[in-house]
Order: sequence, then structure tokens, then C-alpha cells
Amino acid sequence: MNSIISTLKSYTLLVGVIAASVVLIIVFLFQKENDKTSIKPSGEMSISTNQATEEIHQPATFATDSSGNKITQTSTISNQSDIPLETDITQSISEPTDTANNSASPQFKTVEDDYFYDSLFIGNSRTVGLSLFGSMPKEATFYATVGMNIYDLMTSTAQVPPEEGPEQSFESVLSSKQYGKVYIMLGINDLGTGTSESFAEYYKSIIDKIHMMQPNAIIYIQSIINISAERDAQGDAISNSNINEKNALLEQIANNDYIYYLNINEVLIDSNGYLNSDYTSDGVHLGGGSLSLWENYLYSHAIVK
Amino acid sequence: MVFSSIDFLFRFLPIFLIGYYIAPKSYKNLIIIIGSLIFYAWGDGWYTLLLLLSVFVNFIFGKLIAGHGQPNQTRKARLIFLWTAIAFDFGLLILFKYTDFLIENLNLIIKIFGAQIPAAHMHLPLGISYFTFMVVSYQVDVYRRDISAANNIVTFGTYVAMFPKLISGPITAYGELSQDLRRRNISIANIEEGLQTFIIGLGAKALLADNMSTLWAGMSRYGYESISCPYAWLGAVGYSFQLYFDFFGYSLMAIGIGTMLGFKIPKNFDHPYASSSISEFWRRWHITLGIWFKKYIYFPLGGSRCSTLKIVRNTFLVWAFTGLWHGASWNFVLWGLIFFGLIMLERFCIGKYLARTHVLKHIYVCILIPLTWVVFALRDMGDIGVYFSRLFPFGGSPDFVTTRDFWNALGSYWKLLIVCVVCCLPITEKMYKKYKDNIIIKIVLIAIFVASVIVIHTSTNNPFMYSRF
Repeated sequence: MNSIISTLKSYTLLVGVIAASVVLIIVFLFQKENDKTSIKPSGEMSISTNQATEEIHQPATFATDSSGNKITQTSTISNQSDIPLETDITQSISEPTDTANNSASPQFKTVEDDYFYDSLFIGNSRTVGLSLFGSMPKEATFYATVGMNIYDLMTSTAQVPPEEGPEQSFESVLSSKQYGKVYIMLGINDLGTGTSESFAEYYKSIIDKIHMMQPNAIIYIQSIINISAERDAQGDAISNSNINEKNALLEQIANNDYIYYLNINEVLIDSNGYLNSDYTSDGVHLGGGSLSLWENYLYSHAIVK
Repeated sequence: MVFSSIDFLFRFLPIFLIGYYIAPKSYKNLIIIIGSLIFYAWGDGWYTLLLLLSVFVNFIFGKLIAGHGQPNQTRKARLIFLWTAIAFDFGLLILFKYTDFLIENLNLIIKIFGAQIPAAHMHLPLGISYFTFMVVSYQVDVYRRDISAANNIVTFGTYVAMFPKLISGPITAYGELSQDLRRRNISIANIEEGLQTFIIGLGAKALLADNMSTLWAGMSRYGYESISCPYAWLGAVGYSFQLYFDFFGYSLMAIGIGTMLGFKIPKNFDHPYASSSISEFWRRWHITLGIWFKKYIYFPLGGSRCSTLKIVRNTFLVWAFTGLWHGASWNFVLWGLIFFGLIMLERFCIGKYLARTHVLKHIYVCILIPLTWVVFALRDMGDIGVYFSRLFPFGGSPDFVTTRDFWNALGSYWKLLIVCVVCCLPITEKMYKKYKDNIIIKIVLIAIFVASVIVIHTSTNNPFMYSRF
């Protein structure tokens, strides 16, 4: 007995590591079973092509018709009453989508700093850069983290202001104050997840939730900024064709009533549609010296009511 | 497949080890070869054939160079065989590693005439820089009669392809392993000791290097022109730790697996950041590479026993090649030549004054080395220029640059930085060696193992930095 104990003692590590490995393997296998139903997207810029095809979110719990309107329990509503069908559909949703305004181009105005005092900027690392190196008014609120994606946003927490302030949940940032404007810059971390349609649907559902909590805010969808030719050439899910496809769908979400689409790419891309390589070093993020292009665009593309 | 992956830790390694331990002694080398080929094919598929080709060709040339069977083989014939073997080995290395670099630079010249050659886009076979250096050392040593040629292809194949050191070294001479290759002692005590070394390496890689890597990755996000001066320095220091713990960790894992298999693999690092001069740094950093260059390039050229001019020439060649070995890019050449400059400066000017100081020499090393790593890390010459203008912002800074980035990063990394500094100190290893059989240390190591595995499992993969070269 004693000899067994002394032998075990001199091989503590071996025994311990084998025991720990067995436990870890069991835990991992157990986790894998659970993950089959709910898979989290991976971190920023680490999307590999196989993940892109394997990890498909199923965020949409509602169906859509051809024009992109949500349909919920419409089958019983469309009867022979004199209320138009369209109203029926939208009534069943918490907020109306005014499709009539969709075609009219919005009247953008140029504004001063005070326009942004009651604004909320929601975003990923690109918006973190705007907060860290940009010169937007200090009164604006920034809710952004590196790697933020649309699926995590609602349940996320972040340092406010980014990388500097205390950790706050998105929920509390939305409920603590009424904002006049909400600027959203998301999507680059979602390129490898799901389809463009499921992306746009989920994006819309986020806007709906924000609108519910911030009914008076103008919500700006900022186009996903394109990437440089060099980054595009890497040939993974992060490609301009993928971004363009998603941007086209994001543009359709705008109702020009309280949701507006800002095509920031207008001032950032070259003649081939790539993010101008002078403005970026990693091909994805704007350099500190180029943020003024983005800022000037926001200053000159404001809706004043 | 990298050592710090779930596939390796929980699939490949346990299955391989069980097979290895239950196999009869005479089959153990064969098991290593088979395991290594699977290991290589897992990462690089058909390039395994290239590795096999290299083993076969070099085995045959080793015999020819030794003059086996023909005792009257002239020295001249042996020399011809040696050069043929070297040409073959370096030919493969140049073909796979430097073709595009050569084309790129040739294009710059022939652009004047309007001609352009398209890039070949060669794939760099895993570990080719390492196993090429090993087989070349073998051939030269056989030629010099320092060792006798391997008489068995399985033994030779085990030497070249042995998976622990196949991808990133240590670059081991055949002579160092020849005894172990023939007969080695396998005991549970060896396994315990090897495992201990392996776990320290795993911890260095997964807990220190990989955590540190996000600091450097974040530096480039918003462009180097956006970073403040202190942040630039912090980044350089962070990268220095990242690179060290990455490669040091890998080397320890290689040595640890070697020990488990019964081999004594030489160490690759000896507290490089505690060096008191740049020359000393290179005797403590990637030791086996330094020895290779010394033995096969520096000494044959005359080493230090010749005129000053020749010493300068020899040193220059060694460092130009050291730079190029690390990668087919001009920044590596520049990086190598910076070391040439610094080492010459120490040798002929400041060395003797520096040696008399106590603290200053360490400050000197700790400031210069991170700067050299910046040149090492940035492939683009323009980026290097911008980064140095941030490290030394004498030309002023753009308006948008603030030191907030430094304080934010320091807030997130200060604990990790302290751990890294402590782990770089020689005293830490001394203490560890004293108490390494203590049960508490072993429990700590088990905890490090568990923590590393969890980190590896939850994060996306971080390949070893040094396997690219």
C-alpha cells in the first residue's frame, strides 16, 4: 500500500494530467452536444470559411413576404372588411413600416456639433476607432466593442465609452436615456454567419427593438464600410461582394420615416468599389487620419425634423 | 496540427504515445516515423512526399559522402557528393521559399524594359527551413568525419522527421541524437519529467503568448499613424513577450515530448531578455540556429581568427543569411543587418565599456531588442517608417493621436505584463528547478494544463509564429 502511494506521489503530474484530460474531454463532449442547438459566432476577423458555412444562426422566428414586411398571424386578418390588407399586416406588428415613403429620397441637411449631443453610436471595432481617434462631440454616447455582431448586441455589455469607461449592458444604455439619434454600424463581423437575407431580417428586428425603446429617435443605418482590394483578395467570407449584397438589403430597411440609410461608402471607396487603401492599414478599419471623412459625411447627412 | 491544439493534445499525442510505448524496442523508431508522417500530412498533405524525398536523397548522399563500401573514395569525390547534396537541399528550400521573392525583385529590375514575370505563389512546406538545416548539418558532419553516416534509413528518417522538432526545431545535429536514436532509456520517470516540461511550454504558449498577441494585433487596427508614442513602445514590448513565449513555449513542448520518447533534445532558449549585450542575446535566443550559423558558415569562413576586415565580412554574411532565413522579405534582411551593425558596434566600440556597467547594459538590451522586433514584425517598409516615427515622435504627432490608447491598453495588460516579466527572469527558473519535484508545483502545473486546454478550446486557433519561417 505504502509503495503504491509513494509511486503515485512521484508521478503526480502524470496521474493528474491523465485524470484532468479525461474530465476535460467529457466536459467538451457534453458541451458539443449542447452546442448543436445554439452555436455562438466566433470573434472578429477570425471567421474561417468552414465556420461560415457550419455556424448558421436561426434568429428569424418570423416569416417574410416578398416585399420584406414581416407577417405575423395574417391569415385570419385578411377578410372582406374595408381595411386594406397592408394595414392589417402592419397592425399586427408593434410598429408600422411605412412603405409609401420608401421611394422618396431623404432630405439631408448639414448640421453642427449640437446635433450629436443626444446621439447614440452603436457599433463594432470600426465605431470603437471613431470613438478613440475621431472628433465627434464628447456628449455623444458610444456603445461599441471590438468584434460586436448583430446577434450578440442585444445581450451584450461594453465599456462606455469604448475601451475606457465602465462596463454597461446594452439594455441599460438604451433604457437609461432617450436619444434623439441612433447611428448603427454593424455587419463586418456577421459576414460569415447565415445568409444575407437572415442577416437583414435580424438587423431589422434589432432596429424594431431599438425603436420600441427609443420611439422618438431617428435611426441611421450606416452602410457596412467596404474593405480594401488587398483584404478582399484574401478570399474568405470577408469580401466586398458579400458586403455589397448585405448593404443592398440594409438600404431596403430604411423607411425614410424614422429609419434612414447612410451610404458612407460614397466618400470612402475608389473607382473599383474597394475601400481606398490610403484610408486604412489593415484593409478593414479606417486609420485615425481618415476618420474625418466619415465624420464629415455624418455632419452633412443629417435629418432635421 | 500545432502542439497547442485539441487535435494534437487529445487525439494525436495520446494515441501515438500508447502505440510507441507498447511497441517492441526495435520498432520504436518506425513508430516515430509513421507518427511523424501522419503528423506532417495532417498539416501539409501531399508535401509529406517532399519530406520523404528529402530523407531518401540525404540518406543516400550521406552514405556516398562517407565513402561507404569504397574505402579508397577520394576526398575530392566526397566533396563533390557533399556539394551536390547541399545544392539539392538548398535548391528545394530556395525553390519553395524564395521563388516569389526573387521574382518580385527581378520584376523591379526588368520593369524598365516593360517585362513582368507572374508570381509563382509557391506554398511553403511546413518546417522546410528547419529540416533543410538539419540535413545539411548532417552531410557536412559526415564529410568532416565528425560522425559516421547513418547505416539505417529508419534511424536517419527518425532523425529528420521526428515530429516534436520537425516543424520549428530545435535544429539538432545528428551527433547529438545518434546515441539516442540507436538506444534510449524509456521510463515512467522520463515521461513524468517530459510532461512537466511540456506543460510549462504549453502554458507559455496558450496563457502568455496567445493572450499577449491581442495587444500587437490591436496596434495596426486603426493604422500605425494613429498610435501614441507610449502605446508604440508598449506594443513593441508586448510583441517581444509574445514572440518569446510563443517560440520558447514551442521549444519546451518539443523538448518535453522528446524526453517522453527518451530523447535529449538541446534547449533553444536561455533567458535571452536577461542578456547584458546584443551578442549575448543571440547566444541565448534560438540557440540551435545560432550554433548552426556559427558552425557551418561563420567558422568555415575563418570565424574571428582572421583580419578585422574578414571578421566584418563573415559577420555580415552570417547576419544577412540569418535575416533571410527568417523570411523571404526585405524587412528580415534589414532586421538581420541591424544585428550585424549592433554586434560589430559592440565588438569594436562599446562592448568593453558596456560590460563594466551593471544596470545600464540591461537597459540597453531591453530597449534595443523590442525595436529590432518591430522591424521583424512589420513586413512593409513604409509601416516600419511610420511605426518608428511614432516610437520617436520628434516630427510631432497628428492631432487625433492621444495617449488614451496607452492607458487603455496598460489597464488591460498590466497584469499579464508583470507575469511575463517574472517568467523572463533567471531567478524564476532557478526557483522552479529547486522545487520542481514538490507536490505543490505539480498541482500548479496540472492547473496550468487545465487552464491552457480550456483557453485553447474556447479560442480560435493561433498557429505558432515561428513555423512560418
